Amino acid sequence: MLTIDWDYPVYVPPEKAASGETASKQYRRALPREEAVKYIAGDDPRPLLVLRECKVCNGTDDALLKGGMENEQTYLLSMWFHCVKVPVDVMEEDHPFHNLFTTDNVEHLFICSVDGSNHDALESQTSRTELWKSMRKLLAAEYEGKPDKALKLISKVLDKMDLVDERWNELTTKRDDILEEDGPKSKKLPKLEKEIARLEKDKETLHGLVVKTAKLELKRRQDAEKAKADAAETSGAKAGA
Amino acid sequence: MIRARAASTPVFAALFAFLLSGVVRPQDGGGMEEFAEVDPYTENDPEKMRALGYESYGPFEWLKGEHTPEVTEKIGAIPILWVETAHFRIGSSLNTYKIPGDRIEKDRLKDEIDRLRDKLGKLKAPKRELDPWLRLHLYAQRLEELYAAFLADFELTEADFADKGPHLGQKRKFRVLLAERKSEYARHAAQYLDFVNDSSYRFGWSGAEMGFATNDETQRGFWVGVTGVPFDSVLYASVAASMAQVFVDAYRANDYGAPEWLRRGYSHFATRRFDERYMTDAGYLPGQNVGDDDWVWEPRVSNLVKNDFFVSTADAFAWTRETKLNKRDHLIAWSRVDYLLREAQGDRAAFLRAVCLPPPKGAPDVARNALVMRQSKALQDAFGVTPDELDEAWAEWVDDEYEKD
Repeated sequence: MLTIDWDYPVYVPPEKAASGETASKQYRRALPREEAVKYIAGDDPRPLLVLRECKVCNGTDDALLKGGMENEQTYLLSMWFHCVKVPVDVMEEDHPFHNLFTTDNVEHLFICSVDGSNHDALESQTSRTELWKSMRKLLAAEYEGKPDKALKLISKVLDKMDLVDERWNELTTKRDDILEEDGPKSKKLPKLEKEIARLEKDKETLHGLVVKTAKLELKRRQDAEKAKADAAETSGAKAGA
Repeated sequence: MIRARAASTPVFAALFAFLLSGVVRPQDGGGMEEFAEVDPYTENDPEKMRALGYESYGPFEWLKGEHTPEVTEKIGAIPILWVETAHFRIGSSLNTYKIPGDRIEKDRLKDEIDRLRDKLGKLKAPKRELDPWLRLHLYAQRLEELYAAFLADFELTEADFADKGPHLGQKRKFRVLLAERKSEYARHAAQYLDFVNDSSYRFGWSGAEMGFATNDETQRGFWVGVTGVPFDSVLYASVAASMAQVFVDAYRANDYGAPEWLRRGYSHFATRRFDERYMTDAGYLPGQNVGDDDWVWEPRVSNLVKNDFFVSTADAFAWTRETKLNKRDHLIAWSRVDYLLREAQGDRAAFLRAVCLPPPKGAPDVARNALVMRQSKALQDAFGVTPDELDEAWAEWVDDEYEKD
């Protein structure tokens, strides 16, 4: 079953040392946008998909998903994002994450780069096509390689996985039934075990293929690594001079 | 109190009701419900609250020294109701539940509401739904009944554990969080349990407080494309399964040293007494489907006994938290507990006391041996049988008692 892997950050203010020996808790205040983005991003370098829970959408995934098969695209595209849900009271002006939202008419969800740039405000009513277009556009800017190509391949592999899973379910249930009804010496078991083992191997291979295909390199990470290497080379050259 | 009506109510009546009640109902297909500030069933009358066995609707201390208002804010400032009973502190953000057509659930809810009515003297419950306050009352009643059943099952009195702590040996009351959504559940887990997942979690600091947190959204997510599911039963079955384990773990502050077969077996025993149809942690492989009739366990155990294909008591004594149990192991653990609690002649309280001890120390082999030895001795002392003799007596009982295919 495909799901969106949400993160639910809660802001914990740093304890500020008071004049005496004890530390005091700070009053709640909205963080500047840059700080808020940094806080929710944590150490995850992926671009952000931020969903604001609201009283109408019940805080569930309904705001992002519509009924039917079309959701698969959203699920798959979401794996290249760091998906974050913020609570209803983010609308309050003193909520630490309030400034994440940039428009006056606070949007329902947005996507942006990990540093907060490329902010693209979206609404739950936004059509799926528009949503995917926005997600793809940011992915193309953030990742090396082509998400679309990976997406097509993953989709195909998932179809295969469905078939294998279905057969595996059927056979493992049959095996359990035989073990319970006829015991472990049943002559029906060896053939079944062999088939289950084959399916488990197929499952593993297909899973590996999804993981490999989904692995796109972040441009920022590459840039950071290149800068680090350049710096090391420069300092090496200086040391050698 | 007048409550907001269904969408079919004429507009002016619905608006009038809304203005009076201050209650906002979710829109069809979702919506975050706002809860009535005052309990419409007790009207916060101390006498009525006492009749239900309540001490408070909060604020009270929850976990890590924080009180319920701070908890509410940290998990998203969502509507949440709190209640403190004799043995529990409960938080619930569960929305109004529309009762589906499931006959078993309908009959059970009627009985449960009748029991609440008996305590209150008067209770007018809506026929087709359970509002958030009524759900809270039902959970408070269920959890206290589950606690009482644990005492009755093992023939315990408070004197059996009071030296360790008043709540089965714990110093503080059990905490139970029933979240409507994954989001508040996950924020709670991250804040108070230092743990991240989006389903459910048993927690505890042995000797202090123990508890369980769960959410309805995850439970519902397991039933995609199925209609008419009695989700109130599904959710409580999972709560009963987990709290039964928490009770075993809590007993006499055993520091999670209670036997695994007993913990698992009693969990199924308690759940099945509520509703046999909804199993939790029953040895299914990840991704494996649950069949429509899988919950009919008696004939399955009979078959295993007939085929002499089951884990022996002696081997089950060596199970630890790390042991991977399959479906058959769960069936047998449940059935042995079923036998020990319903049929076997012996001193159940003494048995529980002798096996609920901190985990044995030492190298793995030494600890394993000590674990088996202490359970064998407890079995002999309390029930007068060896593990092999228990297997024999249990198998005979299964043959007589359980239905067969």
